[in-house]
Amino acid sequence: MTAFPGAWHYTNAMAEHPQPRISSIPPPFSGGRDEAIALARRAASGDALATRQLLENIAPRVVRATRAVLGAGHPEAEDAVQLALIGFIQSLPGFRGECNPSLFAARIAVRTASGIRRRARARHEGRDEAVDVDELAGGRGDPRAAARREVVRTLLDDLPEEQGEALALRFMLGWSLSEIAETSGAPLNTVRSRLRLAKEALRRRVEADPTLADHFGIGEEEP
Amino acid sequence: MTIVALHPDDLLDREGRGELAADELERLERHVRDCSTCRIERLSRADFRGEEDPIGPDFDVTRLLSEVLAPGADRELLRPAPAPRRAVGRRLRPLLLAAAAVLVAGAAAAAGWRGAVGRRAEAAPPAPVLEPATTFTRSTPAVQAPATLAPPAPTAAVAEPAPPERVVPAPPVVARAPAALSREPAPVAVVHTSPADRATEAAAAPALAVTRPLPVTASDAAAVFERANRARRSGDHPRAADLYRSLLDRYPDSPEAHESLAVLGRELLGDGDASGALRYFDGYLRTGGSLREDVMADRALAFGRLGRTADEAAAWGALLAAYPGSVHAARAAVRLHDLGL
Repeated sequence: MTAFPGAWHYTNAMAEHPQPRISSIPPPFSGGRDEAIALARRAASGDALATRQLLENIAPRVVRATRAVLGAGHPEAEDAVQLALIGFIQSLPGFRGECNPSLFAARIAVRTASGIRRRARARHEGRDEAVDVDELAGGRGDPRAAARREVVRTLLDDLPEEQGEALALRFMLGWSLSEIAETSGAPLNTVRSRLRLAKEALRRRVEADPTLADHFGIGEEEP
Repeated sequence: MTIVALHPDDLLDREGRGELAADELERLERHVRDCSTCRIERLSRADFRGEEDPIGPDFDVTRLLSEVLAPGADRELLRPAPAPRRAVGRRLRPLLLAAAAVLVAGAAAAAGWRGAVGRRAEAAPPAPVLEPATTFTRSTPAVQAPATLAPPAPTAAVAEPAPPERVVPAPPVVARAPAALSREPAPVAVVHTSPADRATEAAAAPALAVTRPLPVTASDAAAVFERANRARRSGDHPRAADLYRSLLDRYPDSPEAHESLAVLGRELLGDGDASGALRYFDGYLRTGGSLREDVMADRALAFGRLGRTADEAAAWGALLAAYPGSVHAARAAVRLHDLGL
């Protein structure tokens, strides 16, 4: 079973008309930050080969960012990746080279996926909240960890964009404060403030739900 | 200095990278014992780190890039667009194909890159040059609302129910100029082809015919189930219900059909059709399965929605009897208490 409509399509094509493996493609760009920025500049100026190398380089980060925000198996995950890649390509002329292009792309991916989440949520309004079909049809895994991840994801739908982005980059992608500041172009203290507000909102949400509080071990503080 | 300033952000970062020394770990442990904010952060970050590999076999990045950068997309720019059809989940591909065509054309010409269809690239002359490269010279916001990005577009991945084992030709993937990328006038792709190029294209036509359009094979139970799940998750509940019912009609003995009883029942319950849901729950429970515990809980929930309190109490009781340690046990106990039992 495949998760995306194109997967079987591609598989059939490969089976019927074998094509060269990906090893025939030059390996993705693997230079350092300065080289990556130079590559992005060449791509922004219209160098198609540089653009391809750049896309190969950033794609895994884009995929990871969109999957982290949307959750595994989200039906719009592939659309989110495509939309993020388009956004990245469109944004290249405005890229100032102040961070690694892959971080820049990941930030676009987080924003893109967050927007998709919000719209998906709007479509689901009016549903019986007590009935979670996805929970039934989805993977089993550790239910507590899944619940913890989900509360972070749903919080993104409600936070102001900058706070949500900072929260996603830090919690979901594990970025440091300085990486977030560098990529977003915001002062470190601004990032710190955004994160503080986002984390307070998360804590309030967790504390308001006894089950979630239990999942996070809240209320078990030592006297 | 506030307590916020004392949050050990650096320790949390270093823990994520596996770089914590023993004394640092002890310091972090001491802090999170008393700081619920950091405890939440620490747990959440670990949860996301520990999530199943986000780039699993169901999401093949190589395939994605090969697909969107496939040589030949430039030719597709010139094809007339078929009548619009509903395209769930693939609506953006033509836009990226259009952008990719610009890239690939230049890349092939500049570096002789051999990609996923390298054999064709070997035989073909330098790819025709497209102009203008609008997507790279225009500065637009990083993220646009999909509504402005994605006009309905036909794709090869349009998944309509098809009779078993029937093979139908897919409509060609058509990548039009990305008119919706911004509010500016749509860029027009112009292909410069010499007579020699056109002759070579004609010679290459059989190869194109082999690779595109691709045949769409008929649905099997797993594919119908997957489409139904996708429709459900995207919010298209009527279509999802139709597909689940189609699955039950066409492949009643398949494992997917059996699971559909539970999923469709829950879908109906979520949409407020508790009595309809009950029929599917009862169908599932006649033979049981790995979802039995959940379905028993849903069945009790359905009785509750219908106000059939005696049946609801019996259903919760049956669940507790069958699964004393159920994840639904607390909910069942609370509900039984509310019902005065």
